[in-house]
Amino acid sequence: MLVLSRKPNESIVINGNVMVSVLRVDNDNVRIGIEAPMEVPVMRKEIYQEISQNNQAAAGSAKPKLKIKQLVNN
Amino acid sequence: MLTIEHKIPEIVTPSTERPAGTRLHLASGLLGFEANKQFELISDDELTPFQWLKGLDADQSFLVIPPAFAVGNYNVEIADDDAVLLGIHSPEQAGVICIATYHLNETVTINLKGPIIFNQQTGEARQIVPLNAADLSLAHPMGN
Repeated sequence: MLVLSRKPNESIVINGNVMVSVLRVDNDNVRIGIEAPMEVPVMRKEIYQEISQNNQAAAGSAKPKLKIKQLVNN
Repeated sequence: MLTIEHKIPEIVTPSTERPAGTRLHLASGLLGFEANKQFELISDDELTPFQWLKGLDADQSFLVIPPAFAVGNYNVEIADDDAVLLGIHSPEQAGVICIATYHLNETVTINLKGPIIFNQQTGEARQIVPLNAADLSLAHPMGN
């Protein structure tokens, strides 16, 4: 992992088109601003993890059902 | 912000025996499956109101359902950027499907928190986290 130190109002540029800025630091709370092209999905990691895990479980659960259907159809 | 109030869609009965599915293009993929972008939404009489979201560039299929069949009152608020990306200017242009998970105990839950919104004319689609995601369930139990 790349580790950089930044002060409030300083930023990091990623890939020339994503800018992550530190807006404010209060104790253990850091307020971050993100500017990215609209096609780049940006979300909290917890939400990304819960939805991607749900997608993984759903894909796994659909597969046996699909196989059963294919057997029935053939 | 665009609020989409999802209603039960009209089911158009196809005239052919093997109806073609609706092609959906997810430019960003599904969360956790970012590499897979081409899908086909396939209706199946035996599974109605569920549909198959079949991956075309990977062997990956999902059981999906228009959320109005799972909950009485489903509204999603989508960010302006998402509406622009999908070319959706009014709620009527938007199709909404939610991914279902079939559990070992034979119950089915619906992910209302990460719906797939698509432009019904172009098939451009995106799994989004709605602005009102905090009010939406990740695993809404489907009544039998």
